[in-house]
Amino acid sequence: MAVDVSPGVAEKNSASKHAAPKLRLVNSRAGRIGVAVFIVLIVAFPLNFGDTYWLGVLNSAGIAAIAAMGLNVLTGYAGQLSLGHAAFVSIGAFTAQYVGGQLGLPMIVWLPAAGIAAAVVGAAVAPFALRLHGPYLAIVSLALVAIVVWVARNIPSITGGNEGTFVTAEATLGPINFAELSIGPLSFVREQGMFILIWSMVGLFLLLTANVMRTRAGRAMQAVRDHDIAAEVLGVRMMRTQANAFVLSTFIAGVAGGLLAVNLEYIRPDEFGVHLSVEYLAIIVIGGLASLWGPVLGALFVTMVPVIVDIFSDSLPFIQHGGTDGMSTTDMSLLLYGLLIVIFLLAEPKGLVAVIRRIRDRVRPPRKAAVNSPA
Amino acid sequence: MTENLQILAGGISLGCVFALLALGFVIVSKATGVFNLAQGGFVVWGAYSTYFLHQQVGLPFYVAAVLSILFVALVAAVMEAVAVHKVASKNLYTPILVTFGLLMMMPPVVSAFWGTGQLTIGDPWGLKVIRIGEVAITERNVAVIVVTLIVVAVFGLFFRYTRLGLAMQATALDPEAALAQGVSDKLVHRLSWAIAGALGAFGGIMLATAGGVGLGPGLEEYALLALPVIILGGIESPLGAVVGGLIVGIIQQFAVVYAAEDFGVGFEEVVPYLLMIAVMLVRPQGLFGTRKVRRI
Repeated sequence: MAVDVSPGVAEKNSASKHAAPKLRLVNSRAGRIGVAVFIVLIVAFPLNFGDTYWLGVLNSAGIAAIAAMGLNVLTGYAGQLSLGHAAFVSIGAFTAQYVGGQLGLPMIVWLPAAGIAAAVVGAAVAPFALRLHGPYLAIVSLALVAIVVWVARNIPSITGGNEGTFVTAEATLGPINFAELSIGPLSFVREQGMFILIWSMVGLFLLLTANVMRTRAGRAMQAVRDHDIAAEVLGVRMMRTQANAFVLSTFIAGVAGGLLAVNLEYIRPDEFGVHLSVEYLAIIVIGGLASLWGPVLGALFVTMVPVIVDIFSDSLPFIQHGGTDGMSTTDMSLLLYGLLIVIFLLAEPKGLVAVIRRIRDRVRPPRKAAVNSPA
Repeated sequence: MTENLQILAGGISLGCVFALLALGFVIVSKATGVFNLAQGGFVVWGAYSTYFLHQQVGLPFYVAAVLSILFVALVAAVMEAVAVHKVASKNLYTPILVTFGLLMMMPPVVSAFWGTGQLTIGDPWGLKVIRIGEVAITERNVAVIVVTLIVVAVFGLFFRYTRLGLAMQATALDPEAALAQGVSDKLVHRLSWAIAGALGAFGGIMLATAGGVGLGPGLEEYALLALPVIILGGIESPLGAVVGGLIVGIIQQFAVVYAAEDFGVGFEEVVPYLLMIAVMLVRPQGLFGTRKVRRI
């Protein structure tokens, strides 16, 4: 598929460093080692770490990371601000329960179905959304959240209406049931199995976005974001590019919704309101817009916020302790999300990813200096 | 017939509140190019500070209302100076996200002081009713409609005849040329935010007094309902804000009464959005907006 330049040639020809990256799933030895380590960690970590509370937190973070990766494709890479991501996550969640629970099909069917259902709606909405620019799209996507919540509340046969529905779809892949994982004589708790499932999906989508963004279609998205008219003059077809971003973004959102449904075991239409979109937006802004690891870092960070507020709720001022005085933990988290969004946008618009890179550069100066030195 | 007129009157009053909130969005967007989502926060702060001054400090209602409007205007101007001015002309979505962050921070601050229960500002209007023929209109609705008319008229005069108003228009039209003519962009930006803050606070007070929706968590969501209004009217058109507000208010009020059963639960909440989408399909720039010509 891709032309593979042998490493020796690449080393001599410094110009090739700036050429288009090679089209491979993982493009360097360090990358391949990274993937191997990631895979080992995903399996080894939960099996040696039995604290179900913290595993649960990490599982929510993983799902939020996947959903945020979807939003990152649209907002970060393609430059389309969307407040409607929760709508697609919601469609994925209810589709997963319908296909996996009511129809009783296995995960190999319901998980892709969740993504496809969201992507179909995304594709249907895209032509309208793409006529709009900037704030208009943001508002229309906000409308989408309101409309999807309204629809979901009014089709009780699928969604359980206002009260919501239990999720009976099973997280099974062939003989492996992630909810009741057992290897030989050892059996594991639900959180441990779900951790393996969720974080494998995180890894899968990391690989997917990294590679899509290196392709022609992915680079076209970024070109349209940076200067749409210039990109069009250069032969990028704007409509198609943005529609691609929309469909990919909503597909990922749908899959995240499916995982969210099985992880929560109980879903209600009202849970997928604007506040969820806000959380995803906070994740990608804090983590780093248009960066690969941004959504993962952001998700870990943002998921920790309510947990930390909970832990310190006794010593923090203004927090509710029963009754309606003071603010709830949710309020406190919202306040912190908002504060963090503002601080990051003003002080470090590239997010946590840039912060970490700067720290790393300080600890270990970048190798570039050595390469460029006259020899 | 009488019943329909009654609903119409309620709709016009609701529409006036939407129009005032939308006007706040439009003024900031017109003068600074920023799409200011923090408007919802101004609504909440205006309502709660009136509650504080009127019910807890004990000032008369009108004094409390004026003081809180001034207070929120000041808060808005400070926000512009501290957080928004730096990124106002950056790219498209940074300022939107910053104002969104501000929006998220404002309601929790209120619940830190006054909790999450339902409060009431009281009933400054008395539930008195004015009768025109067979139609009964509450005094609150009359007050809302009259004040809206006055505010819109004052704005029209301000923009057309005062030096500052003209400076704001000039900045909106061509920031650099205005700067070259000696117009301070800082002053204009801060002033437009202060006006938006005042309008938001006023809308909040109207919503929170008796006959409105009450004072409690979620008040900021009413400001989000003003978003379809400005899309409907055109994002930079004050006239559009007023007309759009009235259309949305009236249609929503009718939807509350007539469409509740047939279209499912919560239909009235999505009506403004459905209306907006229908308009956008035909006229993406809104009813009164001008199509942007883009040059390379």
